[in-house]
Amino acid sequence: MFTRERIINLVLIVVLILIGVMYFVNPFRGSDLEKWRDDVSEERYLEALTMLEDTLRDGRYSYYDFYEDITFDYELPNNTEATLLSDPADGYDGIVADLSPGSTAEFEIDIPEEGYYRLDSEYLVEGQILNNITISVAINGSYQFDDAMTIDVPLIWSDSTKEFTTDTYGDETLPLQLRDIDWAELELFNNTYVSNEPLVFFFEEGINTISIQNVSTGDLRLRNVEANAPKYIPTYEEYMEDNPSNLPDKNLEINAVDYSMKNSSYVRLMAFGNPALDPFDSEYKKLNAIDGQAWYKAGQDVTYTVTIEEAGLYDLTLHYANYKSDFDVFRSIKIDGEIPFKEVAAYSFDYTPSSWANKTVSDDDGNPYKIYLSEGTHTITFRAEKSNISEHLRNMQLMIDHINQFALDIIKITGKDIDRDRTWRLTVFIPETQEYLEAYRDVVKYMVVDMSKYSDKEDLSASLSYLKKAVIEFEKMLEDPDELPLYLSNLYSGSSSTTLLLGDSLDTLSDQQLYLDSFYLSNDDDFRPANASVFKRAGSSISSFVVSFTSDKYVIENSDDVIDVWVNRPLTYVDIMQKMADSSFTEQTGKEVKISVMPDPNKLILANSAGNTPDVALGLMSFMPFDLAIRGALQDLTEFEDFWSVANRFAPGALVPYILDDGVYAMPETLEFHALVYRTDVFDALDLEVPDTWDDVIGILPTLQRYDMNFYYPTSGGTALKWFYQTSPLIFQHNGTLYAEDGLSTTINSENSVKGLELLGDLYTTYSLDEQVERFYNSFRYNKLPVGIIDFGTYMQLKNAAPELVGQWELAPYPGIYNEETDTVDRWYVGNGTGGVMFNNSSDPEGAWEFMKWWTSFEVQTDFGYTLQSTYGPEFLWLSGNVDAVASSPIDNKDKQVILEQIKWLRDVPRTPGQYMLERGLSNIWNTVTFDGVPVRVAIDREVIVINREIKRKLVEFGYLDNEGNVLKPYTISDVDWIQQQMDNAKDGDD
Amino acid sequence: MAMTYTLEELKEQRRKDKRKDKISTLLLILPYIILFSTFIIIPVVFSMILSFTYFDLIQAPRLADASGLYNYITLFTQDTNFLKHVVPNTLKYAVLVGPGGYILAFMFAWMLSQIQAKPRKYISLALYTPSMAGAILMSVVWRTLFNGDRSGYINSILLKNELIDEAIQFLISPDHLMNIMIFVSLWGSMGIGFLAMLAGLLNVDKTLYEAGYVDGIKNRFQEIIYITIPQMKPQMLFGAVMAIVGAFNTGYIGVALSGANPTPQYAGQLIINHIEDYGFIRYEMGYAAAISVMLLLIILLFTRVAYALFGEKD
Repeated sequence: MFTRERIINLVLIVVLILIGVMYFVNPFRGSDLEKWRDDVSEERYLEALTMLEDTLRDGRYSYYDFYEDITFDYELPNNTEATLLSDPADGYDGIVADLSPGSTAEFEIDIPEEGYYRLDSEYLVEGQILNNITISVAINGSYQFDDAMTIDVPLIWSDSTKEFTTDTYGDETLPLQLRDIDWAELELFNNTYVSNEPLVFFFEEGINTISIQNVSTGDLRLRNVEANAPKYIPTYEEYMEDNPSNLPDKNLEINAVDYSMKNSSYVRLMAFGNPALDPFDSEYKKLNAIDGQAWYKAGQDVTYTVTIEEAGLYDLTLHYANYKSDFDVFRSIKIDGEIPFKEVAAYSFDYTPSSWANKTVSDDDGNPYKIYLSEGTHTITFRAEKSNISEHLRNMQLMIDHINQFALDIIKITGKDIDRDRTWRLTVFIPETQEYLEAYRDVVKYMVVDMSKYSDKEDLSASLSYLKKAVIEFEKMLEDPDELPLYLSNLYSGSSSTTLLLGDSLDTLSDQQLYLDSFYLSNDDDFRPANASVFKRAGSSISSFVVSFTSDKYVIENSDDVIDVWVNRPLTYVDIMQKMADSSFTEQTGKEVKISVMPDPNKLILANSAGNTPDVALGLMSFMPFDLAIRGALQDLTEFEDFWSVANRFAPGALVPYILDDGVYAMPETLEFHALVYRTDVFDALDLEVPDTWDDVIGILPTLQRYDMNFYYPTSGGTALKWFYQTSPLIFQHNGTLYAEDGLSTTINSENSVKGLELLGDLYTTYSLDEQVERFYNSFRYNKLPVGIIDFGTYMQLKNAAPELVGQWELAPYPGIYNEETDTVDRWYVGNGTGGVMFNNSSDPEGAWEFMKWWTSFEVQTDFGYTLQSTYGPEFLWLSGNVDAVASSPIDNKDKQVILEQIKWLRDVPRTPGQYMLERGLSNIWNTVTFDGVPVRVAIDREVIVINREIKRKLVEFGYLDNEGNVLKPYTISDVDWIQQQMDNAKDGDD
Repeated sequence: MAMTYTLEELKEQRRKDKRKDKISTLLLILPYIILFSTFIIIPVVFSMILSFTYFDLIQAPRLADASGLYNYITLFTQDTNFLKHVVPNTLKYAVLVGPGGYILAFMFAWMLSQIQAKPRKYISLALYTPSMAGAILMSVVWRTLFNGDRSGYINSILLKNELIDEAIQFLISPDHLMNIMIFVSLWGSMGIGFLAMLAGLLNVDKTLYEAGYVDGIKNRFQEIIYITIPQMKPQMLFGAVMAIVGAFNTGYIGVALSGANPTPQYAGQLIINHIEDYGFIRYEMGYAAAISVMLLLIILLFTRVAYALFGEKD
């Protein structure tokens, strides 16, 4: 019977199961949609929105704001040509406007009837560029909306081949990307593609001027600029009236990999490991779908060319996957470059949780939309769209801006440290508080209600959950608006603040990822199954499991007659390197090169003990070559006569860590830069100047800190052990050094070095910088640290992963110390990328040297960076060690100038056998000064003894000193000046 | 019909049996011998040999100096960090975490043995879990809790309640790191030793307690001292050895928490970290081997103590 024990057990089990179930399906998380629907009304929404717009100082005026009030007049006259006033470009037939980077072309146009027109033209982009061109268009001297300053001019790309080559493992690799360099038609869209129809501009009757400026890099040419009436897109009903009703009995399957062109090289293919896709192989990877992660930005389109044998109406069915949590993604469908009817101007594709779907484009009741295709060749284009939700996206941005402004107003009243014991009556100081909060709440509620139609789960969609959370936050704040200062971190800058919730939603909802395997034009439903059956999936898993034992796909062997190169980089890089080496290096020299992935560089040490080293190793962190060199494993590159003239292609500071005595044991392959980054919105709002020197930085700190913001210096990042780049730049900026010239002792206790360390200590003790910052990137986004020093990685992150910050931040040079002698601001920074080495037991040193020269040359580095980025996407920016290659790399021009300037001040720390002790010593000095309050000089003196002892011990170990401390052979420290001198000598020799 | 044997035959038979016996014994221990020597004896002997040499992983090892004792001499005369930070840290850590964890494990095991079987199962599983999940939890959970940012949970709670004015740098400041390491290790110390003790406690013959009460035992404490502990000596020994070896060998905690080797100002530097520092950062394998030999000796010494306390004299 039921003993007590059994009952307890049962209860326990039931509770556990309940918890488990609730974890997955929360029954308390009910839908609020019904209730909210009653709460919101369009009237209230518009009222709230207008209030927010009106109270926002320096608000944005987006294209959305501009066009929401316009009624389009489709009857306006077409083909009104503009005449070029500026000097035409040379070397073209006809009149062609010259729009090289930075230049402006002026046009004049005689408009017969005032109204809103689109501007169409033909364009040509020459040269090897990767990123789309951005232009600005001013009509009669003014920008009619903010987005007129950032108009996108896409580049047209195609694959070099559809017969994909395979890599060393037999997997298919992405094809090279070719750019179509030819005249093409240009319709104007802003660079975030808020609308799915081209931009319109207002023209008065009579003479108007148009000035178009190229604000990016890359040569643009324009011709035949003309004003046209907006194009009318018919409804499906109207569309069908004109079309014959013949239904051909055909089923045409087009594989997604076979696109003929696309407007972004970043949209790429992938090998999806799923047997439902075509082609598929369980051992070797086959490219079989368009990667949704890469096809996610509104405006990115992919075009297919199809040949129709029998004219008639066809259904369009896509085999696709959408993994955006519980939310539709949108694509516009164009036939021969035109949207055939309104219903497919931004067609929704449902969420397909962890599976694929065959979706026939159809209306809400499931009746397919027929598309008429005449006999012959047609193009079908799918373009990512977000125009359906651009109203909401723009409102989110508006609210983020508004909340930021509101929060700063609050901090102005409460001060930085908000007194928690005080009875706050915020509404007395800011009477609008209640009104603002209500407006925020109502606008977000309206958004949720409106957007819930794009999800099967309606308002419970995961993609809307942050917005719902924000509503709850606003409601909580509304319970007592007077007390808002106490909850400020929930409103702004906290880790779950409403600004962050809105910012993240902005991010998720803009994302329009869609994976596409193939599509069909047909009048039956004879498609491949959307998903593989259980047996097929099991079969393919088992066969790939078996293959993993039998296949020798990943085995690497060194061979004697070729140059073996090991690279500490992912396969994606190595693959391109191998292809380039085959086609260029082997072609030129006749020597074969075999490039392999080396996942763990420590393997080199083991390989060396086993006598099995490659000829060349690339991608090593900058500290590794020295350790290998001093133990005699590496080839001194200066033994090659032309070394120093080759070295002129690098930044001198980048060679410093590779020097031992007078030999150089590695070549810099990539660079690292540090620069100042700041938020322009904050600096404008607080009326701050961008700091140029450390005095300037100290000057802006009181203002920042009054608003609970701060400056970020890299020493705050990372772990407890601070590396050289975190501790020593200020020493170099003060003209200090780290080692005595004979290498026997450290000089961090010399006058200049102490000055540098004192400044570093003062920044934390006197000027209260944050001692530990988990991730600057986040704090920068939340406005906690609106200014700081970043490295290359953070730069790329800000560039690619913070959409809400676009245009709100800029780079500036590293703050420095004014040097009276040279009348410059010294901006030394410590940083280094990766290097390449040659082993001294290489079977073919001359060949290996040729290879290293080839690899670091301008052409190869530029080509490599270009191929890498065009094949894999913008995140794969290659910051080459070759300075000229950096200058020609596809980085925004403004940023590039800062980077190039900063690279001149690159200066790594000279290596000595005991250098880790110096690194630790400097770290300890910072730690004791900052945390224990020890005076800087005392801390330095303590460490110097330990450092010097270790340096001596190590010099004895390597035979520079004997046990009594007598110098057996001198150890020379060769710093950046010495390298510069060698380079200059070599240069003079060449001339 | 009974078989008859001559005396000679019987002797021969006996010799055969004996030889068979020997062979089967040898076969039975052979796998152990092979595994033990490949994975324990040979590496230990090798590292002992290496400890007399200078070996940088690249060039072939050579004798450190004429006598070969150079590494050991350096260890005790030159290496200030070893004597000033590493040894005291290791002893402090080992004494608190070893016996401390041991006593905790015993206490929890005893408490669990007093309750019903069903809840015991779940609770003992819950106590055992941390020791399985160790390294991953370390970096994820504890680093988040003790983060020196104001967003670290503990800092955030303290700041909100105004117990402190600014965030404490738990993982960076040398004052706190060691204590946190000890705390975290104790939390994860309910490992295999704990399970062995629990099993031992449950296997103590219940009738002994009754007999004990007849003989005049007055309370639970006396019960533990006079009956429980003597009855579960083997498990106690096992737990003790595991605790000692564990305490000396868990070097990863300080490095995992602070995120760097060496730990800030050597505040959490244990012998294991020191070995890694020399072996893999400074490429002085010979010296690192010498330190590990010292570690071996220390562990041996403490294990002898454990045997003296709990070992069966037989």
